[in-house]
Amino acid sequence: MKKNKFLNWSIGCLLLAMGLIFVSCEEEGNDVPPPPADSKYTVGASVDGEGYYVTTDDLLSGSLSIVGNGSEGWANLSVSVDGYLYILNNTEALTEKFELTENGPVKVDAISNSALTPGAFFRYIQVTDNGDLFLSTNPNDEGLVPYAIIDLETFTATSNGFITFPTIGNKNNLWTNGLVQDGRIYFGSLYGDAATWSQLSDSLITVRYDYPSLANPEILVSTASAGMTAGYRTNGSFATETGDIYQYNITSSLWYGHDEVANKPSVFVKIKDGEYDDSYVFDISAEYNEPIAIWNAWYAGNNIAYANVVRVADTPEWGDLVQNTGTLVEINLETKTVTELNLPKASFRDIFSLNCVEEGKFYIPVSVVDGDANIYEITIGGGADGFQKGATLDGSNVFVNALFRNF
Amino acid sequence: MKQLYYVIFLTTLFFSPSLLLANDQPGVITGTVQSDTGEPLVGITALLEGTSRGAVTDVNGHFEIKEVAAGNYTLVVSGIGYIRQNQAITISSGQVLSLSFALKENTEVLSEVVVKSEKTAVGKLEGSGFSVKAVETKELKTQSMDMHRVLDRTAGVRVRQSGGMGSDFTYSLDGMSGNAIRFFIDGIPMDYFGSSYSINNIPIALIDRIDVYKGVVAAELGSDALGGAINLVTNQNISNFVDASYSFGSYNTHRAALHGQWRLKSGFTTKLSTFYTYSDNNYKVWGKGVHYADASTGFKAQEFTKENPAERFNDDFQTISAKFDIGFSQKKWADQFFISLLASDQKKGVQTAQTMSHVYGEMRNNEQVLMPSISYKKSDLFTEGLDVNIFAGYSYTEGVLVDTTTMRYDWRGEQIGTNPSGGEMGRNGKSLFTQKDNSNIVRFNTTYQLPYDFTLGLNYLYSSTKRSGEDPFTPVYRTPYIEPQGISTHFAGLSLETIKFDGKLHANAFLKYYDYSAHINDLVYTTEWEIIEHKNNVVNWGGGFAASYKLFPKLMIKASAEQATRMPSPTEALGDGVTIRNNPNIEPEQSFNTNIGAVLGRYRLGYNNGVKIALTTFYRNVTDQLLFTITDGQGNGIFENIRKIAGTGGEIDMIFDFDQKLKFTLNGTYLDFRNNLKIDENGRENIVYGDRVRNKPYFMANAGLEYTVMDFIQKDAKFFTYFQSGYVHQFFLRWPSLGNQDNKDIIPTQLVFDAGIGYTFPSKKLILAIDVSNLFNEQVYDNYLLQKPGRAIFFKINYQIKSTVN
Repeated sequence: MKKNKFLNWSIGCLLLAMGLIFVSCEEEGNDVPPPPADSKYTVGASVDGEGYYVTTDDLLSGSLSIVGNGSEGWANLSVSVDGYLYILNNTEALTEKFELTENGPVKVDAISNSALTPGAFFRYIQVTDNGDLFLSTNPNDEGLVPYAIIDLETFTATSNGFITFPTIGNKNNLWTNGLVQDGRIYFGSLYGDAATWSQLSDSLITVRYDYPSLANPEILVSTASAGMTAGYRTNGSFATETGDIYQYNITSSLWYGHDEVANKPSVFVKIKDGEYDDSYVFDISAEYNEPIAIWNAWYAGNNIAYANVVRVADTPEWGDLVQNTGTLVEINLETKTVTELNLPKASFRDIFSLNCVEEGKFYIPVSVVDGDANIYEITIGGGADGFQKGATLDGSNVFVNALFRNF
Repeated sequence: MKQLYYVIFLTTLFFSPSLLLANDQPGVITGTVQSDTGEPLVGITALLEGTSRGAVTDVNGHFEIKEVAAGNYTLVVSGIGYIRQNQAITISSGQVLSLSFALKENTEVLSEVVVKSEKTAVGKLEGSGFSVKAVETKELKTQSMDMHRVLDRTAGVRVRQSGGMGSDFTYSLDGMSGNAIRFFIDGIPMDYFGSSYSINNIPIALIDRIDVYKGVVAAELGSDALGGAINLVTNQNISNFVDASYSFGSYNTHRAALHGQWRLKSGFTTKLSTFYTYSDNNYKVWGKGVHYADASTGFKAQEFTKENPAERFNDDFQTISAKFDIGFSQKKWADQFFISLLASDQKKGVQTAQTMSHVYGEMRNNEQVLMPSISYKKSDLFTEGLDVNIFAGYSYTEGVLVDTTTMRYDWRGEQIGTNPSGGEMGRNGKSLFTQKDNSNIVRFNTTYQLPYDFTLGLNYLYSSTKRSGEDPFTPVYRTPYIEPQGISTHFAGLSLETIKFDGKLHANAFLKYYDYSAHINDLVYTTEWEIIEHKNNVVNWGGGFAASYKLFPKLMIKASAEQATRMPSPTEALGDGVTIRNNPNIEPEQSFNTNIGAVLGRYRLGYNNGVKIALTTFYRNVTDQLLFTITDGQGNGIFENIRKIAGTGGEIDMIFDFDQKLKFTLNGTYLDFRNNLKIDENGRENIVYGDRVRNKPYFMANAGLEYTVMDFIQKDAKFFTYFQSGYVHQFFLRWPSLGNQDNKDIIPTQLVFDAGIGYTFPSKKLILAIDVSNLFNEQVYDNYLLQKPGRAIFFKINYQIKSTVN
């Protein structure tokens, strides 16, 4: 009996140990824990001049309300990486790190932007393919661009200071935003006279540096058009799956630009192997019978981009882009076709962060001024009617300024 | 300047007939009666003994006995609650004899305390139908508290400061705040006196009384005070005196004031009011927003703590102001005629932006003001019962914002780097912005005594400001005021007042007219930069009433209502050239205000104790409210008209006095102001409809104990001590209903205690005092992430030399 008992005990222990091992193996094998509930997407909004944001698992049904829900603060300048939300809090001069939990975002760390840059103000934040965050803003009056690089693993600033941009003739860089790709950073730019914001360059200009050293500046020039290649709220350049970079320009008689350049076409151009590919120019203006301009464009995959196209004739006065004058168009960069979606006209100008693509769908907020705000699900490449109306935001006070996937 | 000439011309016209009629007339006796502390006494009788000739003092303590035949008389001056005075006088043919009296309180007649209070200007004012609180400064002159702290103790008043001495401030009166509250000094709007000569800085020593009107404002305060008005009443006595005070204390704070008056028998009078204030404001701050970082920690934000706080290092404040008046007083042709010159200089460091998260180490803000003016005041001008008060002034204000350093600082006070383009405030480089305001102000105020105890009042106020600015470091396209811009306003008020039924009923009805014009330029880029001119003119009418009735001798009910308009201020319309943009389309703000209240008491409790309770409820309905809207991440913005706000509230104010030595005061205010726009102009639902108004305190209370001991140590000496507490309940920074309720930003509850002692020497010339504010060194905020000073101790010495002119 003793032997049997010992045998049974031994077998039991062995089975228990094996069971534990198997369980452990199963756990080790499933190394991506399920995301916390209601944290899959982040939606940022502006309400009466104040910022709020909510996280949700559902963009398609019901309502997305900030009444009694979500967090206070601006999330329009933010990115999401590996379960953490990184927000530029310019009010408190911080870059804040939030962990996405079942109880919503919880602040876990912060870097002082006031120590990183004069005025503690960054206009742009991006996750690079180098595993860090790149923060920057527009050139100051000296033509210097404040920047900072934050290592995501340690959440520490590893580099900060000013980037000195080269002048082109007597023109300085007035507006710039960089895109990091394969060890280089490409700054779409606007060059002109800093004292008057006129005498703009009559060509497209990008300044390329090595990254993260920010050394060896090279000026890339395309004569396909003129105007700004930095983008507006979001980056004017984006990389496709092949590593090619596409870039659009902003030029309009309703924005900065003297007569010689204001009416040049809105185009998409390509940067390949570190240089403008002069063989590729997609003239969007040529697709219209009237003057237009692009304000913001977002890449959705498979060579499809979506852009906010504004007809000059619809714009009530110079610089007024916050009316319901924006149209969302689907642009196939490969086939060079443009399809206007039958969405409500809205203002798409102040969408600062938009990075929400999933399973062939592209999600975008449509905030009709003095009207409804909804999330729309666009079928990528689905044509003019390839969309469905999704979740509804609260009443007329709400303007959605950020939408991105967390998980 | 045209208005100034006009008034000088009118004034000259006024004088001419008076001068011509100065010979071969019976004599006139004019005089002023004050308490022994210098407060004008109303309702005091001045009688020529053995005759039927006499007069009663008005609200300024002034009396005039006309048609007095030459001869010798005894003038008897008496009033309930005061020891009467007899004075032998001789008056010759045509002589205008000016006299002044200082009556001592008759403390033995205890039952007459209440009656006595009604004889003062305070009693008369608080007996009117307006919701008004008159704060006497007699006791306050023994303290070194500033005006903000004094008024903050008053029911319905909330003062929010962004920091220490000289910092920005906003007043809230029964829920109405910001520029809806207007400030006056002797009825003249203070808007054009400059920052130095503001309620923030004027020493209490210069002020006799502070009248706080809530919601409904008398037409005689001729301005567009939509939410309330605070009127500082200066010393109006005709005694010769010199009063000097000096206090010093924590944060290297020094305050000195010197003011005096010298009047000759001829009536020639000169006055000087000057004060100097300096403070390092280097108090400790810590917590959220107060951080530093460096490369050793990868620039992670390190917050300062209470145990290891930061010290403010660029917040020094210095102001000096002098006002000189020269003219005549108590003459037949003028009760007062003065030509005045006000000059002030203010310099201060700018420590932070709109929150403490942004620290500045060298930024400065300086301002100089020069303001000549002329004033004329006469009772019974041309005919009995016609009183006239005229003021005209010109103001030149030059403010400079100095933001030229290339250094950057953190809360350690250390230089942490450079900014090659310079400037701490923004990302646009250095700034040396000079703003110049040229303003004119003309005020004409008259009352006329009609039959049947009616008084007709007319008030007219014109003001204009032309603003220009320049900055050598700013490119053309960012230059504010590329051409001068301006606004002008006309205000007219007509009132009819009466007192009926043996003084039981006080009633006042009024009509107001507002005219606002603006001329604003915008620099706009189309194909080139061009100046676009905007002109705007708005006319509004308003009106209202105020009435009180004594149901019983110790129960008075009050009611008042007004449809009020507030015209945009120069900064709201024209911007400040730095952080506030101009708004060519801005409209006046409007509000319908009502107050209903009751005053009980003073009820006697036992032999020599008493209690007085005042209750007020109010309603406000504001449309087109002018609010600052932040338009970017750096706190820059624009004033805009926004939506509808409506609210109700109530306040209670109780005073218990025990044996005339111990006084206990308690007051509380509750506000329920809500967003009142349900459906917007496009038919859309407003999601914050019904929300309590954001960033507005809604429950506050004050309690205080004062104890006075007469004949302390020495006969006729007085010892005074007080202990005061103030409570403000926490409130949300943003709309309360939005976001998760557990992690909203709040302005936390504050409970602050102040205490002090004062000793008045028997001669009443010398006063010594010690005051402690924020006794328990609490971390307190009036605004989000803008910490106020902790515990501070101040010592004060006040010396007064006084004599009367016979």
